[in-house]
Order: sequence, then C-alpha cells, then structure tokens
Amino acid sequence: MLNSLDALIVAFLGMSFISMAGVLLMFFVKNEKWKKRMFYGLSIWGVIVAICNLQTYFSYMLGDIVVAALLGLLAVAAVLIWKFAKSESRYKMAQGMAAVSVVAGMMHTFLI
Amino acid sequence: MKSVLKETGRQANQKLSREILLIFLISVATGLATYFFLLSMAGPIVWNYCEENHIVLTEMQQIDIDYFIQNGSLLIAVLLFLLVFLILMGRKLSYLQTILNGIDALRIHHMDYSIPIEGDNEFTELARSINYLSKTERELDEKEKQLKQERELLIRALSHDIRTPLTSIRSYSELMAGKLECGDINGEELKEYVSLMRRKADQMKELTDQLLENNRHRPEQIEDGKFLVEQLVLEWEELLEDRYDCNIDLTECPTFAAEIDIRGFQRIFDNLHSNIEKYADENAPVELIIGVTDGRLCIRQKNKKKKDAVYVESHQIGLLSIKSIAGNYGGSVIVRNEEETFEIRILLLEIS
Repeated sequence: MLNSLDALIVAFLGMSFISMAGVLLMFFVKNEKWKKRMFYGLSIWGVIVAICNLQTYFSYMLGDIVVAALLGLLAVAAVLIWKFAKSESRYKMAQGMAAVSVVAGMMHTFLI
Repeated sequence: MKSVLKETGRQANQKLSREILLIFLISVATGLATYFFLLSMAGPIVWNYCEENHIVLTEMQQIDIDYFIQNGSLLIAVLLFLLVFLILMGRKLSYLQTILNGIDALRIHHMDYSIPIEGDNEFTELARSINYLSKTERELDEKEKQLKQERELLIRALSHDIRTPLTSIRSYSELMAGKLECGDINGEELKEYVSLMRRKADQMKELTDQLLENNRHRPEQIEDGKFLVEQLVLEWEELLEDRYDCNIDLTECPTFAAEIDIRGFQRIFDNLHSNIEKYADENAPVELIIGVTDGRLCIRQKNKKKKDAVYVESHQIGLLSIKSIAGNYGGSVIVRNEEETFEIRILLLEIS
C-alpha cells in the first residue's frame, strides 16, 4: 500500500514523464494530424497540472493561486491561438505557449 | 567507374550510420539528463514535504525512499530514452515511406512524378537515382513518340506525293489507250508518252527510295537553277493546261547556281499541281510567279477556290511536305487562305 510520500514521488515522476513525453511528441512528430492531437492533449494536460497546482495552496496564498491560474489560462490561450492561426509562426507560438504552461506548471507545483 | 561508385556509396552509407549514431547519442543524453534531473528534484521535494508536514523518517525509510526515487527515475529515463529514439528514428525512416509512395506514384502516373528530395544520406541518393531513372525513361518515351510521329508523317507525306506521278502515269496511259483505239497516234508521240511515263515511274521510285532512306535531303550542285525551275514549271503547266488557264511569270526568276535537291523541288511542284487539281476553280486563271523575295527564291501560286471544295486531310499533308522541304533550305511557307482565293508563297534557297 502506498503511503503519502510514495504517492508524492509517483505523482512527481509520473507527471514529469507525461509532461516531457508530451512536449517531445508535440515538437518532434512529423505527421500533422498527430501533431495537432498532441498539441490539444498537452494543452489539456497544462490545465490539469494547473488544477493540481491550485489544489496544493491554501486560500490565503493568493499570489501562488494567481500564478497557477495564469499558467492554466496560458494553455487555454494557446488553444484559442491555434484555432484562429493563419500562419506557421502562430502555430509555433501556440505550441510554445502550451509547452511553457506545462513546464512552468510542473515547476510551480513541485519545485517553487 | 566502379571504384567511384563504391566510394560515393560508402560515403552515403557513412552518413546514414553517423545520423543513426547521433540519434542514439541524443536519446542516451536525454535519458541521462532526465535521470539526473528527476533524481536531483525528487529528493528535495520529499524533504520539503516531510518538513512542512513535520514527518520524521527513520534511516530504513530514508533508504527505501531513495531506492524508490532512483528506480522510478531510472524507469522514467529509460522510457524517455526509448520515446526519443523511436521518434527520431521514425522521422528518419518516414522518408523511406515517402520514397515507396513515390515509386507507386511513378507507376500510376507513367513515370511523370518526382520524389521530393530530403536530407543528405543514403535515402536521398536512392530518391535522386529513382528520379533520374524516371526522367530518363520519360525522355526516351517522348523521343520514341516523336520519332514515331515523324515517321508516320513522312510515310503519309511521301504516299501523298507518290499519288501525283501515279496520277500522271494513269492519265498518260489512258490518253495513249484512247489514241491507240482511234489509231490517232504516231511513233514520235508514243515515244514521248512512254518517256514521260518512264520519268514519272522513276520519280515514284525515288520517292520510295526516300521513304526507305528516311527522307534525307540530298542536294547536288546545279549550275543553271533557272533551267531546272523552267523544266519543272513546264511539267506543271502540261499537267494543268487542258483544264486551267495558267498564267506563268518567270521574268523575275534570276539565273543562279546552287546546291539543290532536285527531288525536293519536284515534290513541291507536284504538290502545287495536286492542290490546283483538287481545289482550284476551273473557270478562273491559275497564277504561278517565280522570283526573288527577301533574297530567296520565291514560288508563288494563286488560284480561285472551287465553290464546293472540301479541304480534307491530304491538303495539310501536302503543305506540311512543302514546309519540310522549304525548311531544308532555311526557308518558309506563307499561306493566305481567304474565302474565294488561295495563295501559297514558298521561300526557298538564298539567291546572291
């Protein structure tokens, strides 16, 4: 039976793996269809990470809460930019935003 | 040649194996970086958590935690190594799929397709070679088609041209038969007709020889070109004068010496005569003017068109034949085909 520490480690390692794998797949997969799927998947994961992040703070830790929320919104903004993008640079920007949302979210959840 | 190919092949081979090695090293580096990152981060996370929640761990528990972190980090690192390696190798090998799709496309589009060139390794060489082969195949096909078309055109042109002397032989032989029946022929006339028929038969033989020798332009030095032209004009007139009023003007034809393919000139006049017989109105005069235009010998024929003339394919063959012969001298043909009249202007060799 896993105790809370083990669960923390598993959560950290598991979430790290999903985040790193998601970012790598989104940037390095050649197939456009899969690239799109990985982008949406990573954006959703960014929101999930933000939600997990929010759960870790008490209500009086306003600063941290705002940061966590903003990182989640960053993922949402990435999706909107992707939807309305007309040029390659816009698509790249959306991908970058989704990646930042996930990486920053992970760091804010576990390290900061 | 073999050693050059071997060397090029070896270089391309080395490029691909270098790229695969690079991919492997990148994957290993990613795995190692991930392992050390996770190892270094997991520890502080655990200690921070213990501190915040006032948890005191025994030595055994600490060892357990460390062991758990190490194994977990190692597992994640290995998974990430595999992921990175498979993604990068997949990208490399996807080009092979592109090449295979390209080969299918070549089959479907009859070699009219080019495989996109990517990278700089063995696969790229393969794609380049396939593109080169398909391009060569396409060029050979086009050349073959072109040769076939030229051959067909030649056969049709010469067959068309053979009809004229054949028609003349037929006419003369009918004339002779008619005169013999009436007893209205003397030895001289008979001799003349036989000689004419023989000339036409020789012409037919030369045309068939041309067909077998692929219609080579064979000029010979003619000292008095004007005399040759006059002879051909005379023959042209003889064939038409019974039915048509022929107006011939040779006043501007200069005396000249040149290299002329006599058979080609004969074919021109045969085609001109054939055109008149098929399409000219018998009630209007036919004009033939030979002179010099733009420094070239110019043959101009003009006639009024028959009201019910139907311009069939042979009209075009005759004109193509004339164009081809004029082309041998660097000349050209200008046709003015109006509602009631038809005029052809043939520019041949340069006259100095």
